[in-house]
Amino acid sequence: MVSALLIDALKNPTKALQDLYSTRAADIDTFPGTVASHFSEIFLKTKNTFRELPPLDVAHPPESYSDRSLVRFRAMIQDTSPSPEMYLPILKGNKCGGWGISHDMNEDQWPSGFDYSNLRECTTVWAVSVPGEAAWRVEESEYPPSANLHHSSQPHKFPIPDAPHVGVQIKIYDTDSARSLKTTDVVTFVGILASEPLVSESEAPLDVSTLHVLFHQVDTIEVLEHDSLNHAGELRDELIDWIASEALGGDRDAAEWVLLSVIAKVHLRAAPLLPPSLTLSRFPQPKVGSTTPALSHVLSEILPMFLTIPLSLDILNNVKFTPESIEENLHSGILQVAQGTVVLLTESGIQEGQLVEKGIMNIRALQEVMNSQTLEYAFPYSKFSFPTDIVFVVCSEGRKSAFFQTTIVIPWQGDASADLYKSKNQVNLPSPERLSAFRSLVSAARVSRESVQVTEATSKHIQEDFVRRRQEDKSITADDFIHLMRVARLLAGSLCEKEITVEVWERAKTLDARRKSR
Amino acid sequence: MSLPIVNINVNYDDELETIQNFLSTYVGQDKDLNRGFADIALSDDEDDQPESSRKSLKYMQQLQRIANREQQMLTIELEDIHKHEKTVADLVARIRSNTRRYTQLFCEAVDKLMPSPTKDIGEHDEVIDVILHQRRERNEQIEGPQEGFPDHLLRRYNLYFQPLLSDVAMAVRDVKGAHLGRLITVRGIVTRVSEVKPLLLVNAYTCDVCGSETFQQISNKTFSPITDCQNEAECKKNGIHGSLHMQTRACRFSPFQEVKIQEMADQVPVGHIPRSMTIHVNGNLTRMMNPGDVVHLGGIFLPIPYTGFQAIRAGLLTDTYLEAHHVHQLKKQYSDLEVTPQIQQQITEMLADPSLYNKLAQNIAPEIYGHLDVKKALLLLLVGGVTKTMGDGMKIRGDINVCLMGDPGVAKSQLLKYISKIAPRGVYTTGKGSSGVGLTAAVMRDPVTDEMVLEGGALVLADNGICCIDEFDKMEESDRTAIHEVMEQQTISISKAGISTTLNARTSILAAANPLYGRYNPKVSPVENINLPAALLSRFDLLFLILDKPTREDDERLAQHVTHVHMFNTHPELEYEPVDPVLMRHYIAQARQRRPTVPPEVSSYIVDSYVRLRKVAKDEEEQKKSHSYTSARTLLGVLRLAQALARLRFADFVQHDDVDEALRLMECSKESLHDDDDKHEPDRSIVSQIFRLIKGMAGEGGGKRRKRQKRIGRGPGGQRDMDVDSDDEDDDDGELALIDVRSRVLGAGYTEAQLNDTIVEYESIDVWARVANGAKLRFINV
Repeated sequence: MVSALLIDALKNPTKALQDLYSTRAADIDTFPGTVASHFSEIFLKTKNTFRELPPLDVAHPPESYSDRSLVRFRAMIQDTSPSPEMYLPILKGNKCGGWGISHDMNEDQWPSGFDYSNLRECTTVWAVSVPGEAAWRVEESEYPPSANLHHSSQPHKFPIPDAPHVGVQIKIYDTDSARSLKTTDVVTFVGILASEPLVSESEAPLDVSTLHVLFHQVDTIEVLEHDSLNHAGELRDELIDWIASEALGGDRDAAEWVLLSVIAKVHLRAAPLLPPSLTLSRFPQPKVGSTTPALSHVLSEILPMFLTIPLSLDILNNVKFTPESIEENLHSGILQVAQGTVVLLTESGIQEGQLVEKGIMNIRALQEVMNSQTLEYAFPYSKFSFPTDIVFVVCSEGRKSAFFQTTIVIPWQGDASADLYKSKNQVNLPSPERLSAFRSLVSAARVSRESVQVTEATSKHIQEDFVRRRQEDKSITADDFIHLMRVARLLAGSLCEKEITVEVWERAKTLDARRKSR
Repeated sequence: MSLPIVNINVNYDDELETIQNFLSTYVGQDKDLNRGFADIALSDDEDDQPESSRKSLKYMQQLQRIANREQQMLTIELEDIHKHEKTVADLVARIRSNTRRYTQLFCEAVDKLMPSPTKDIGEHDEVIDVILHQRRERNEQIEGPQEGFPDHLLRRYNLYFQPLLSDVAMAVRDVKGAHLGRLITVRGIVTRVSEVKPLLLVNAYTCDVCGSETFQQISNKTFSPITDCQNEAECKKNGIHGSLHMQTRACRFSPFQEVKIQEMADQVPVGHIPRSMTIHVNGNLTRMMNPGDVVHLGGIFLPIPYTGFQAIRAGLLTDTYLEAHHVHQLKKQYSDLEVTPQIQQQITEMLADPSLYNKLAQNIAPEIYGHLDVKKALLLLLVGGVTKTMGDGMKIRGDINVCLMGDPGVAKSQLLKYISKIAPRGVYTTGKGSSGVGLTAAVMRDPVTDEMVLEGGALVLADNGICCIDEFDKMEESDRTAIHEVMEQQTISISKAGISTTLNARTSILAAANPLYGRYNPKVSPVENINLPAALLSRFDLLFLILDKPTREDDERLAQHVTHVHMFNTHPELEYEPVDPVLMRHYIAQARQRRPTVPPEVSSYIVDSYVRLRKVAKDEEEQKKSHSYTSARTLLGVLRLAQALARLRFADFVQHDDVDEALRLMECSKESLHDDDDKHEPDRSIVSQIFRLIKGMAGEGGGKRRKRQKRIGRGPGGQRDMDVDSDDEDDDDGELALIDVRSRVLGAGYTEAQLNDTIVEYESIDVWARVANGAKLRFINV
């Protein structure tokens, strides 16, 4: 059964809002909170009620909607620097004033004069489609894709240059809940879509798509439930086999390392326990045609947020990797992506040539993210480090990556005759059922890695093991130990286990020993 | 809401009265800086005779100067009103909450009180003053209903409010809608400054039919000009549409500048993007700020009402800006830390702690285990010794320089980064040279002005601070030369592009270096490992060698630590009490203000110790065991360390103990070098002897050899490396054919097995590598 409120709100959100105001508005200071709870109650009741909302994305750009329709927008917050805006919450005749209602209003409805103390503020941010969001994450919706092509008015505010995306100005009236929003947060906004001038002092005000938010929800990692998770070990083997055969010419060890890397996330910043970065060295050059490795297609099928950056001198020298504020407008850079994104860097496109200063800075920024998971945003006269959570996998032809020092280097040792640069169509996909099992395994591994425990007994064993080995071989350093601990944790996570057992520890050790012996 | 100011029906007539009363009776104090030098001299004489002292009426005096066209800026200090009214609740509170209205009220009051000029219009007065004078005269002549000139046109002063001294400077993000219309203080860094433009305040027109003047007050950014003559007496009466023409000379303009400020790093919550704010600057306050300045701005927070078509489109939304009333420039250094009573109390408590020295040292980079002596040295580096300037202009450096040398992965870089963070004006840089400006200053062309400017490098930027240089060994030769000067003379001389100057670089240097070949090679002597010229080494007060040697105890502790982090997701509890970094900064800042001296008995003790040190050094030299140099600089080093220790105790005199501790640290630093060869006896083993033989072979060959050496010094990143590499002949030079090596080694009486051992052993520490399928031996130049 569909609630009448829901239909009303979908049909004419402005009217629903005004109705709510006339019945509930006692105090203009609490009204935005009332709006948020009222509408989230209507739409977040079940998954289905939420899906009733028309989505805003590349297939359904703002142009395809009529003015002031209700939409939902899953977006990454790109810029929170615009100053809050002042608006008049009560119009003539005690009417509701926010959410762009007073927009396009006739002059005779204006209040004759107003006191500063009646003004309220709304938070303004800029949000873009989630960069690198996998196609399979965007659920099928009953709304047919639109033929309209969207051209964002602020293309420099999307991390990936020239990529299709939706960029929207977001106005949040519930300022208390908006305060915690940070850049690169992934948030689903539900609100009224309109077109309004961009908040800036530029001489000619530019109209941009604006979403007047009724309520919003910050995304959290969710475990995609699946029955076969009970047999995580087998499922994991199956997944590794698939990655190895489709993308890595049968190199199972390499596939296992890839899997361990992509499920990694920042665990602790204070300690710090950061995700490792991985180099697949001795990775063959493409022979002809496509320069995108099949690994890219394979990973995009199982990861929710995934980007491939084909490194070349041209890209390194000319594309912005780090965000920079130019004239109070934060321009995005490739690395301004949501937390939990996996980035595949391919070095096959690199030719001899000059790396200019920008290129050097870009490489340094990449290395900085790998080392410390922080990204520097450039502002006039100052730089600010922002926490990031990006996992890197580098494909390199050489013994090690040409530019980067990654925590793990594994030389590829697969079938030399295998085509590692298959096109997307040539990749054999498992059955949809298996594929969704893989996805749920990856998501579950990411979550369980977080909660992996180490018991007192195991820790004792591990400590003694380390001390003994170091006595035997003095080339083993503290870094090796820290690395092994991290691998053991990832391994336990990928097996969906709750703790690092002695068995997992030994397994991690042999896995790493096999890698080193290559 | 305890303030009794719910005064909605303010009687502005009464207020005007109050203001006039204040302006005409407020007696300034001697040290008011706003007054001219001459006035101070005068008021000094008449201080005790208030009735005769029209001169010490602070504001009346200024009004007179304005009337005489000698002053333009009239700053009303709220602090003065506070003193005058003995309360901030009344007038001050009302001014602060409704500043714009009160600006007008004050202007009205000033207009009423304005004395007549005591000076006549002279030929050196500006044209505008002449026009104003004439206008004022005409206004007096006009009687009856006819309109005179608007007051605005007759004012030749700008009135500003200066906020209370107790006003707390806010961050941009804390300025909310509730502050609209109020006088607030905001702190930020200036990021953009527009050029100064004339802002039209009153537009004047003349009618081409009747010739009458019409004035239009402009209060917005945009205005629509009047086109038809409004003169009731002529055009309107006759029903003629006389067209108006703008008279630029009769208009009133004010200089106007738009400035952007941005939040500072300490005001932005972690992970948030700094916000910026638009500032409108008018009149005399223009041109007072430059990009990069850190400022406190007092001003009125106001909305920009959209006008006309724009308002309809925007739907009653507005942007906001701050109308500047007061500009205060800031510079942040040690001494500018704001000390709260609470912190002062904590510092006093800390002073009573006998183990303070240890405790503070442990809190340097608390996440790094052990290395207590190194940390102590770093603590003293933060505190520093006393810099003295002699009568003849000679300076004795007080800053302490420390060099950390050691294996990769012993947390040298973390120590450096920690120090650069905790010290104000700490700069972290790597010796490999960052892009653009390196360690020293450079001459660059300013992209905006196209003028040559001196751009400070890391060393100049760290003036009065600490410069942390990582990978010191890989530094460009030219920068290293500059460092010689910095480390002793504390200046940098530049002569580039026709500019020749000396910049101050009063900085402590904290350097970290890797040994030659990247890893410490226990097989060769420490001097060879360190690979820095003696002239440079002697400039470091302390040099520590940190090696990564496996010992059971340390390994266990480390393993425990790592597993603990994985088990409980936090660091293990520290074995000591942590000190808040903020408190630490304050403590160090206060310690730095002390200038301890050396009493005679301690000084003789230092002399004795120095003589003893020299003797030990001489003995060692004779035994060829010396790895360091003891010179007059050592003596100064001991003094500096002892002074820093005294400063830590907030003492005014250096004590015996301080000298002992300084000597002990010196000894520790030396021991860290000696430590090793006691155990290893490097030159005795066969492997080492073979290595020396092979190295000797690599070095043979006169001219070629020198080239080779050069390359070793420069490292793989150096640009000139390319040239060398492209030269095939030279490339061969770095490799030795294994056949030659073998024949030579076997010829010298060693066995094949011994040779192989040598090759493997040195390969494992990356000194050389076998290339060309094991036919050649190549030295790796790290």
